[in-house]
Amino acid sequence: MPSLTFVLPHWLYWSVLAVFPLVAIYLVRRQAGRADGRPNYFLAYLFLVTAGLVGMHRFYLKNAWGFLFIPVFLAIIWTNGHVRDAREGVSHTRADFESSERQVNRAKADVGRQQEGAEARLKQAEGEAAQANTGYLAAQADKAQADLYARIAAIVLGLMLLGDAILLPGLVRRARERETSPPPELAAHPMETAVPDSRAPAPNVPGIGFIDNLSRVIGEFTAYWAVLAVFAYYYEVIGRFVFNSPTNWVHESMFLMFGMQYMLAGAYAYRDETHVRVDIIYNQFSARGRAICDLITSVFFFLFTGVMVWSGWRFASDAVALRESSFTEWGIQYWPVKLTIPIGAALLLLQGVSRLVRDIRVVARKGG
Amino acid sequence: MGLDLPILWLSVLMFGGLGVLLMLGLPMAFCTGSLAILFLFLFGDVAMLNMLPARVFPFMTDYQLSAVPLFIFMAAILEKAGVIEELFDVVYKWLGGIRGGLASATVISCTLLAAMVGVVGATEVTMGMIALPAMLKRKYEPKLACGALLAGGTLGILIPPSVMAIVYAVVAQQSLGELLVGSVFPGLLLSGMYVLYVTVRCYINPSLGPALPIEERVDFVEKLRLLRRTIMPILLILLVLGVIFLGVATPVEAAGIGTFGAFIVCAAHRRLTWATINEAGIATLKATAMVMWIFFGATMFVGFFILKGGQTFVADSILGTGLPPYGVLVLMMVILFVLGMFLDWVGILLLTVPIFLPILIGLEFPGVFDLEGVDPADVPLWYGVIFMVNMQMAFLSPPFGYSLFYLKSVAPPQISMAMIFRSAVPFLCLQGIGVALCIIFPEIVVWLPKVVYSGQ
Repeated sequence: MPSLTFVLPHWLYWSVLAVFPLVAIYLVRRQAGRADGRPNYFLAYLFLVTAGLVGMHRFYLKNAWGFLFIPVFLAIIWTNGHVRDAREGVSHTRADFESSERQVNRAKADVGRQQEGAEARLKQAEGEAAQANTGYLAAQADKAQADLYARIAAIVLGLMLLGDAILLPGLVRRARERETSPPPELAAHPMETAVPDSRAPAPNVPGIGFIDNLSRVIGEFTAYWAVLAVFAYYYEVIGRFVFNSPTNWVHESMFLMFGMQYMLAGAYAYRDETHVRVDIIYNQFSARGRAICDLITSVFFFLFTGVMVWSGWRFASDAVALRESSFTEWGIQYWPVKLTIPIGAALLLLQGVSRLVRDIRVVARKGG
Repeated sequence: MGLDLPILWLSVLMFGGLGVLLMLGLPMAFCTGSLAILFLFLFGDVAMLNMLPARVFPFMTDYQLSAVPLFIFMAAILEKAGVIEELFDVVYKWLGGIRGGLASATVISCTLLAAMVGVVGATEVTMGMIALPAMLKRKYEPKLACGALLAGGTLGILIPPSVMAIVYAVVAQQSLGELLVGSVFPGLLLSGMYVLYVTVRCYINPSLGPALPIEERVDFVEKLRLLRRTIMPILLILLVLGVIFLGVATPVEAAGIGTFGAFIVCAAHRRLTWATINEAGIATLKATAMVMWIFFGATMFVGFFILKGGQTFVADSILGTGLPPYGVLVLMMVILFVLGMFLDWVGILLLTVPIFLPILIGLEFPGVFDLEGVDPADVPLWYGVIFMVNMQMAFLSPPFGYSLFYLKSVAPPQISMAMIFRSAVPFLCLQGIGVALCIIFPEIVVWLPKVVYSGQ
């Protein structure tokens, strides 16, 4: 198997983070209303490229020939293990052989100096060297064989994938003809209606809508990052097991991405009331009572977010000034990640302002 | 400002303040965070406020925590794929012929789903929407039906993959793999107890859960044919758990591959569209943000409390009662149960684990009733799993149990909140027994991790 040496360049990391959500948002819009989930070329080729090794593109099209891929894939995993073992075997036996060579040389020198029993030792060392040599040669042969098998398996799989890349359009077309009806509708978004809803009634206050929109846009933008993680981890695992080449950037890039996501998503979750409250008593109040409670607790809320913005900014500005980057091999820039702390807190603060304005409105309207 | 106050009064102020703010409806994350800042300012100095981001940042760069959004994302995608409906359909056709079969099928489907998802919400709600009407239509006793749903759905957070295990692993600095493996048997134990309870009750009193009428049952050939539809979910379970158990990849990578598998399952169900991804992504984002912001707030709160000697204070008060180690553990379980009535698991975990765990590590657990005890090195693992089993009760214990609300939000109108409360009681008792069993027989927890990880 060839090895993968791709290291994600820093500029590409940041641009993927910036561009992928935009592409996804565009595709959601474009597909709205006319997607039926039937087999399509995009997914078929996506699965061919990513999981074609185990025949997933065929399974996607409900085509049982996909099972043919599995033994070939297992063969690759097995031969890879074999190659690894053989490589180790070669280096071990080579070390043995070299050390026995040294023994022979030393014994020869001893013979030259006419030491006692040197002849016998030379004979023994030569015997051992010959043995080590045979072992070394055998290990080399073993490695050559393992390499051959691995290459054959890789070529077979490669040919199968190539063949399917050509056959795929026809397969997709036939699958589409077979499946004319879309799948039955599922119950509507249970996960979103599930959380006990204690949302304050939201009177329209001019000028506040933009805050809600800002939280929503940033939230939805970062939500798409999760998709990137799926492919990144998949790449890492496949790289390690199929190509014998782990990466040094997948883990770091992904946990930093999620770190930024947690921070930036706080405001969106607050807007949609998904932060857990203990609303045993809170829920018993009228809308006005709840608004009054909110007004009281908002002091604490603003204390928290305000201090987070302020201290987060001091924390991040040091990093920005130093253009801080991580100490790992990949060495990605750290300062944008730290910068999300004050930004996320500021978004949350803004969202709190939006809520505060509404609460004041509720209290004032009912009271006046 | 540098005020000073004895730790007793400080504790009262901190936790009292937390209680008041929570009652006023401020979200947990902001209650803890703002109180931490207030107290830091009053009892420390302004310079200490600069430490806050330095406490938050490690969680943003924590490798293990990235499994949280991934497992939630996987659950969301599978839910959109319709796997929940499909599994229930197959399992209930298999079990329809026996008494209480639908209720057992509910628990078993939930158990299978729990092996794919690490959260409670999705399973609970979807099962509530499909299984509850199915049971009520066939004249199941509503309380039994609701109870089976509540208890079964809650397994999602216990049986691996489990988001709770990830959070515990990060807070307690434990091996995530061991925790996940360790929670397998307790999860199956609870699931088995639920099925047993339902079946026994229905056999004693068949009117609670009658078997399906003959004409609705399916023959064996049909049953085998139905099994074909479970192949993909089962492969997915084997993939995720296999990866974790064999240790071929880290749990985080397992989450990544599992989500990839979920994409394929979703595509094979012909439901993978950009709109699906959008909805799943947003649901994930909200759930993750909720967990993580509690993380941020609570870590400041507990950090300050421990800094002021709160941990020693709690340890001294608990050990000062003169209770034996097992008494201390039981006391903690009671505290957790009481907290569980009001708080959700994330808050409880973050507030109690940093305080309780060091106390337990200092104690010895030589076993009760002449049974084998716990190796001191295994105590964090053991306590973690007991904690997770205990938190099952937090989901079910009124007045603030998440599962109760989830079920209420989808139950037909004739099911009142009071009825849901009452239906949870027998299952709460079963969970209590589960906790007791894990304490008395620690092997339930520690045996499997030992077997799986001994070679490494």
